[in-house]
Amino acid sequence: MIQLDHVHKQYGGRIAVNDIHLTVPSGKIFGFLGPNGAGKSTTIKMVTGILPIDSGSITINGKDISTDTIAAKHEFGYVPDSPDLFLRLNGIDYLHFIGDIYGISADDRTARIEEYAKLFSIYEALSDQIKTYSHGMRQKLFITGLLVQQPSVWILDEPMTGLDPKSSYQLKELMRQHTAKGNTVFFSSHVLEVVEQLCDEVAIIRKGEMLFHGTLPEMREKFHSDESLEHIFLELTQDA
Amino acid sequence: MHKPIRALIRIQLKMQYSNVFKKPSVFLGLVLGLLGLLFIGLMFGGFVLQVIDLIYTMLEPSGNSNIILGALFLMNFIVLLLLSLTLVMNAFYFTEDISSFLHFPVYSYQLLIAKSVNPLVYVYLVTAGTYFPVSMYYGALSDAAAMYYVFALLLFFVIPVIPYSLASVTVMFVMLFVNKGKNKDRSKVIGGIIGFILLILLNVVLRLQHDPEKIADTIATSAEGGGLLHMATMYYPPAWLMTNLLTADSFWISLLYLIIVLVIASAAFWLFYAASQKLYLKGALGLNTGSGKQFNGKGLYRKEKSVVYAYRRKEIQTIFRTPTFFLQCVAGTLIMPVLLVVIILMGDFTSAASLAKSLDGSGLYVAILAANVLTIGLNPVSIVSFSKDGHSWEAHLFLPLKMRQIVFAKLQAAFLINLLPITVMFIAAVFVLQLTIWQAVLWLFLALLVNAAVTIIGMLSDLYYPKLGWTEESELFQNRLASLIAIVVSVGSLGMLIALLLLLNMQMLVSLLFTVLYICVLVAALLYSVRRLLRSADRTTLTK
Repeated sequence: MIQLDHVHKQYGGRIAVNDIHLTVPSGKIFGFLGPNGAGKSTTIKMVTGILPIDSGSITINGKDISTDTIAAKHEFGYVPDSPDLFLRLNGIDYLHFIGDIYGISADDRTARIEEYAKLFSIYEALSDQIKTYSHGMRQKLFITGLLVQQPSVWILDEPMTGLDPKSSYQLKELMRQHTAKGNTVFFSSHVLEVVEQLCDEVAIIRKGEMLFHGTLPEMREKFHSDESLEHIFLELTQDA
Repeated sequence: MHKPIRALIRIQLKMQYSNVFKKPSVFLGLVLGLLGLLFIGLMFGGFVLQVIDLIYTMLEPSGNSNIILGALFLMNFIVLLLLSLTLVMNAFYFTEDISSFLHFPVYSYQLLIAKSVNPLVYVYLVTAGTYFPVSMYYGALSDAAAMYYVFALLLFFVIPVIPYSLASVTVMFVMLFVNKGKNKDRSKVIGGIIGFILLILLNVVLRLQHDPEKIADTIATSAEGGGLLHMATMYYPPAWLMTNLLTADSFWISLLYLIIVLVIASAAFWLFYAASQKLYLKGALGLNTGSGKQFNGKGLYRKEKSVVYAYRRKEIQTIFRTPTFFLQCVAGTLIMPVLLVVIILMGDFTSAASLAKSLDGSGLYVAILAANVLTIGLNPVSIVSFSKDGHSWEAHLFLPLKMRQIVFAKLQAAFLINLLPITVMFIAAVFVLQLTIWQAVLWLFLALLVNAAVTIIGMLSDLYYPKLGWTEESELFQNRLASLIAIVVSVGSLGMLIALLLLLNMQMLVSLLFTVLYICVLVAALLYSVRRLLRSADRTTLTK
């Protein structure tokens, strides 16, 4: 479970995230939506400890990211929106690096690397440097890293970007299986169809303010609309 | 036709130099670098002018003094050709932005003219530094007329065109074959190592003669028989033409030579143009692709390791797999020991050993310490500890890593890499200086002490002045305040120790104890700073 408690962030004089209060419950796939520059990435970066929080607090499975940082970071796995990290490592070196950092046993990680790298069709490229991978392959490698780690909370920033349809489908299936076991998936996306078919709950953010948080039926009820999520989203964020 | 060239040149200049005047640290680094170059120039300049003076005095009566200009043009050609080979290789093939330009609707020659701007800045700076002092001094010695200086100035713009064009064509041709393997990193490393070998060879050539009178004698003897001028004419005719251009009695003859020189330079540029159009894309396309080898399961199973071990391994892998880091932090540092061996061997092998024996205990001891400080103190490996992560630093912020683990893993990686030059230096010292076992042990002990101090100083300076927003690794080794601070503090604090040892002239054992105490206090103070820093560590400071 992820808990954001009156979180506030500003850059210089500009408010990026304003008093966001949000609970991402266990056993749910949670979609975090908003137009470009709405504050999604800033929020995700605060949740993952990349950015400091100005005021408020964030806990992951009860562990505070600001005060109990390392313990909180062991609770989640993160796939960033631009997976251009550790470019000089080979795919296999990166996955073992992740395994060592999160203390995954040698047997477990070997089995997981083999299973998920094959599932995402990157197994044969594991001896190449990440630098030579396409965007989609990098994305798949970082998702494989997350699956090697197997944390209870997944935080994914635009995870479908660059994925081929097969990999995209597999990731969605894995997300469903993960939450079915009582775990949490928190992800941001611009692909509203994906959010619509996948998410148990959504939150919509605009200019750092939370516009809505709830299930899709609740959203339709609130906005008295039988239209698609895309239509409601465009209505809500039209002046963004 | 020229519009795309102008746009491309503007972009190249912005990317290379826009930060120089915006960031005071970069500007300061640049100014200090230029002052350093000026200092070296003045040191060698005096020697060179002395040689010219002697040659001129010897050859002037026989009317052969123009050999000075012939030699100048020939030397300029060789130096600029070697320099251009490296610069062109980097600018045309190894910069990270190559693929960003390949899809633009521009001709290859337009792209390469724009990409030549940065290398040409260096080439013209080197030309100015070598050509102007000698040609102007020659003009003064020979009481040349004003026209000499006008033609000399015109020639300045033409001189680099031929070597630069020839180097470009050579590189483009070679890269046709290198690209067959499509391994950009390997070719980059090979190119760098060839550059180092050329540097060592140049050093050997320079060391063959270091007595101005001897050099003057040799040149004068060759010139009397027309030897050197003949050589210049045979291998590089433009040197002969340029010499005659400047020394001809008639303005019209000079003008004729100038026209011939310009025709040759135009022909060289045409070669550059033709090679750009025919060869460049064939060599550049596909340089960024992977190995094409399929993963065969080797290394799939690996034993679990500690976080510090895993991180240290990642550090060392990154340094060895990134050509720029490998060349600067590993191969580059091996040059110093090799150069030292060259210097000693070029002197006299047996006298080097006897010199080592003749030095009394503390003299040899101070020499050992100084050699170690120079070898290890100038290695940038710890100065890029954090900066080399660049954009990947962001991962440190979401991974469950403690700052303590990161710092110690980075220190260990830098310390271990520094052991390479130490080992080479040690082997060279043992065999060339024929050290006794006791002296060899002392050497290793001092090297390890110096390594500890220098590694922490470098890491700290990078922690305080990191450069994470680079687009190319090479930016980390150019005009950085962190490098300057680290080198000044390392060489300064250890140089002070050496000065104290020389001043106090203590007995060998006392010197050793004093050194151990001094460096231990230094390392303890540095470790204390690291501890304090870790206590208040806020990793996000590095992203600001």
